[in-house]
Amino acid sequence: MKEFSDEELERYSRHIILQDVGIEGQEKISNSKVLVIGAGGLGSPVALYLAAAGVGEIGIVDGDVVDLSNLQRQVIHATADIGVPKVLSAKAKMEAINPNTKVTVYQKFLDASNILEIVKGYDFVIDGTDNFSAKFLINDACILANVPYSHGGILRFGGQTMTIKPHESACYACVFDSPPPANAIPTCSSAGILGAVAGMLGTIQAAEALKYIVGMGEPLYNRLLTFDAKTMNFRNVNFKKNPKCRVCGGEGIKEIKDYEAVVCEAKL
Amino acid sequence: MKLTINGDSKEIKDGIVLSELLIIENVEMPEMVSVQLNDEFLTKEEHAVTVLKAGDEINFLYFMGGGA
Amino acid sequence: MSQYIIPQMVYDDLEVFKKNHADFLAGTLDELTFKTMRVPFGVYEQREANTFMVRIKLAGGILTPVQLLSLASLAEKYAHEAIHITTRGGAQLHYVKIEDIISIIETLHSIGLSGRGGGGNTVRNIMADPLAGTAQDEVFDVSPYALALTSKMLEQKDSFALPRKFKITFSGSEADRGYATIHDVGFIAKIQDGIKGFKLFTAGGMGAKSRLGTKLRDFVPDTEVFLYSQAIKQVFDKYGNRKNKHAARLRFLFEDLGLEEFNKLLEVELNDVRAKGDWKMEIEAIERTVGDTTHEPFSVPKNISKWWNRYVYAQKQAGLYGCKVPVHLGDIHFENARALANALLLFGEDVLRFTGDQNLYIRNLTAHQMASLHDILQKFSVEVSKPTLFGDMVACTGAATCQLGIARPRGAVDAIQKRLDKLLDTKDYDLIQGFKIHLSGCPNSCGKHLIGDLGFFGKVQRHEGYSYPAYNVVAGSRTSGDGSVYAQKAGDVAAFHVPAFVEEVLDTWLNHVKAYESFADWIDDGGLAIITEISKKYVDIPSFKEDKNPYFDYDAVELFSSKGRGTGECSAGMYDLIEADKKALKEALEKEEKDFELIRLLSARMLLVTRGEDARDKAGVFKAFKTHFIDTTLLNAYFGTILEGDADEKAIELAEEVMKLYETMDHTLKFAKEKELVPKEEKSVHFKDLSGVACPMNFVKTKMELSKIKSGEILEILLDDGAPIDNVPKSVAGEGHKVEATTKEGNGWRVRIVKK
Repeated sequence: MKEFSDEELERYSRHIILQDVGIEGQEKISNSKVLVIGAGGLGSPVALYLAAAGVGEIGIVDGDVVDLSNLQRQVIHATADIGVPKVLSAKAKMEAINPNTKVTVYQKFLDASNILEIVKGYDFVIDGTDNFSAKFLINDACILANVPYSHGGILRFGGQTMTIKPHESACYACVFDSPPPANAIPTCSSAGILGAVAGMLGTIQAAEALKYIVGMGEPLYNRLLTFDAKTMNFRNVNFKKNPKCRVCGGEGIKEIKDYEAVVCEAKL
Repeated sequence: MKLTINGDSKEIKDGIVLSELLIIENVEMPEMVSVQLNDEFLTKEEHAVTVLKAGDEINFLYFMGGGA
Repeated sequence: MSQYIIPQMVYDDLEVFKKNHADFLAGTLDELTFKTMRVPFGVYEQREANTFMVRIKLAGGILTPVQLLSLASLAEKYAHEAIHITTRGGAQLHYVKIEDIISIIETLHSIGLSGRGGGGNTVRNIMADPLAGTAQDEVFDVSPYALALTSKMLEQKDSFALPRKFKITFSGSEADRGYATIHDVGFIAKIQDGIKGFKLFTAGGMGAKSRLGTKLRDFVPDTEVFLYSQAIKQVFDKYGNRKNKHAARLRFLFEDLGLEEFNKLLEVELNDVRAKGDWKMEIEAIERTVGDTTHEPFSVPKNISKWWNRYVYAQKQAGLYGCKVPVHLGDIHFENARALANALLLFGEDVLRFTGDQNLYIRNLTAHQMASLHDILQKFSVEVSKPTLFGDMVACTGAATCQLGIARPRGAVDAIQKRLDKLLDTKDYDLIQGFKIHLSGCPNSCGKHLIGDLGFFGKVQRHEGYSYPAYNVVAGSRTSGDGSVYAQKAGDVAAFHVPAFVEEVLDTWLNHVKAYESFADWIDDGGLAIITEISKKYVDIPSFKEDKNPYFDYDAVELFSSKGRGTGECSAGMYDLIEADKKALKEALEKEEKDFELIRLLSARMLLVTRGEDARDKAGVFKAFKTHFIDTTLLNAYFGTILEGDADEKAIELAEEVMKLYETMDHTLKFAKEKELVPKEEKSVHFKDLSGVACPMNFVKTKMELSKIKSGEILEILLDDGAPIDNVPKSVAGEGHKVEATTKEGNGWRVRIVKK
């Protein structure tokens, strides 16, 4: 049993008061390890909220440096951070919010050679990446390593997210099978994104992570939450785990390999 | 016939296949949408040969690759 | 050169530890299990989270230049660049990262050093006279005995699970520079009928109930050093108090048993050790490789003569010299260590000692060799270029890092040195060479105040309701085997005035020094009374309103307070405060016109310090008294009502009751009734005072307390009137717990909750 200090009790008091969280739930949060892949539009709110919530250890992955065009939505970075590796900029903000949280940075992009090793060490993973090859790679790795994760995708005014518990709930590939051909689908860099939409979806992902850690409520298993900020219509599409799924189905995948990178030529 | 498309009930002419519906509904790049018909996902090959019937529930799930 | 022998067991354990270490780093081994593995290797956690220190055994403080060189490299690479000398003449590396532990231990093993038994309830680093092997007055060299006994003790499994720590030392002469009389086992070299042996002292020690060792044998042949040490250890192991660590040291057992009974038990164990065999200790003299020792004519160069006269001494071997190097607070920078080790490599192996006064000694050098070290040594500390008085000041860390500490003696040392430093041009402190000022933060003697010429130990004083740091002054110790005496109480001074007080004492002593052989002689010849007189000038401080400075300790940023202090071995410091209130209370009771308000206040305050409370005003005192004495049912609830409203003659009843309670307090600060209360606690009524805690934190803290107890157990909380009592019980019930009762208590409410 963790003995929270007075400082921690006060800091987390609004969690602890919640009957579904309580001391026990906050203790689970404090003992949990979450990996946030991507320190961009989705990763920013996720990292901020998870640090604030008191997640014990947060790993954050990104190989990029902060660019002026990021600042319209990547709220963890500041103007003064331009040129600074995103993971370092993010770590500084997270630690400023909550010194109790341990932040581990991975200043790189994930590929088949390193992703399993990193993902294995965490209780939950957040997909905050901006391309399909990464999204499918994360799905494969989490299925293989048996680590639950939150998928997130945004486009213009819309967002989608689902939470995956490997081998129990439908995975990303159960729904979308495999990546689209290069440039068939616009990504943020080429198609634009309303900054606040990234915040909306990221905070949903953060809430899903906390729900899973504490073991409360109904995570977005076997359903895709989609929304359109222009109409503010939110919709759940329900489905089941596909027994013939290329990744998590009967045969399934046995090893990890890279997907062909879907590089957006329009990317600035 | 009545179909439920993305949660909304709509009146659509009888006897069409799914590929036609995608065109009718102005789905951009229809070959790149994941289509769920009555809880089952259809493969791309099935789009052209699946005849819709009254009461079918259809969801179009768009790829969203953004995040940065 | 011979060293102690690390038993195979330690190397075997390292292989297991390596695996545990990897598992711990990978997160698959929990912290507690890992702790039980690391501690036997001398790896301890520091106060800062995730920083560790590594203790290293140096029997008799002996180390070679090669070992010093290795320690310097370890310090540079892993330990914030410093080698720390411990108060037992061992070494310590601080601020070590957990990842580096294995590399450090392996390096230490490769140079023949181990941390086994560095701390905890073990046989601690065995010490020897710092001058062993070189002193003019020594009977024979005792260092080989420290080494051999260390090797033997490391082999014994029972050396590592004793009731409490166990300290052994060797002195080479009656001057007792190894402090045999303040150790659990102390040997003083003696030759009888041509046979080498020792006077044997036991059950000495400083701390709560300091005790000078009792001479157990007038002569023990040197072959029986292990026999006796082991047998005494076995007596301690079997009969020592494992329940109460504050009364666990051998001296408490010895006091309980008495000499006769102790000897009886010892005989049994002596026979047992003999029966097991292999008890005779074979001693090899330390053979010394030497550099060039051609003794060329030498006269001390003028520019180094001050240093030479202060710190260099002529050894018993003609033409060889030793030297003391004062090291500030025991920390050696790795560059200094490396420079010295490199220079010493040319001069032989037995040229170094770490000592219990946290200094470094150099030995076995020719005058030319010694003089050549002057420049290197100057860099070791500022004290090297000052009179010995500066380097000989000893202070424990005190309240700065120690939970038991009351005052902060290291800050006081800095302040004394600062003041004396300005006087060096006008005062000749070289006239009182060897004068020792020792300070402890509390009555525990980590700062060795009882064996200083002038000693201080911290206490709490109050002025107009405000606490401030102060010191008891002791003076005039002697260490010489049978003739040992601890320093005697000489007075009290405010911490704030310590530097001025020291200056005046030294001035006075400088005026008398020529007429006496030692400071202790002067103390016995009227000096004590003079110091007491001086101390009276330095005990009072201005009111808090006039000057707040005396209410802050040195180096402290917060107002002085004894609150939150751990109740450890050091609780003796509290008796000062209790006795002061008791005396005032008695005086108040004897007055014809009684001040009931004062009686009531003193009664309520007198025992609060035993509960770690340091309330400043009446309301605070009364509240704390209720919490600790009424709510806990130590005193009947009736006595709580005496604190309500205006004071009247019922205050006398309270005073009498409190004094009666005090009579039943034992040395662990427990009252007789508290021991009776324990079974009730086991019925699992838990308690938390949440008065003064606002919504919603009172609810949060209630949830915290509930999470600590089992289903069906009871938690009682105190809540304020108003929003707290309106909301918290509802919220608690809303979560499914049963609120059994809410009863009015004082201005607030007591709420009884059964956990769901």
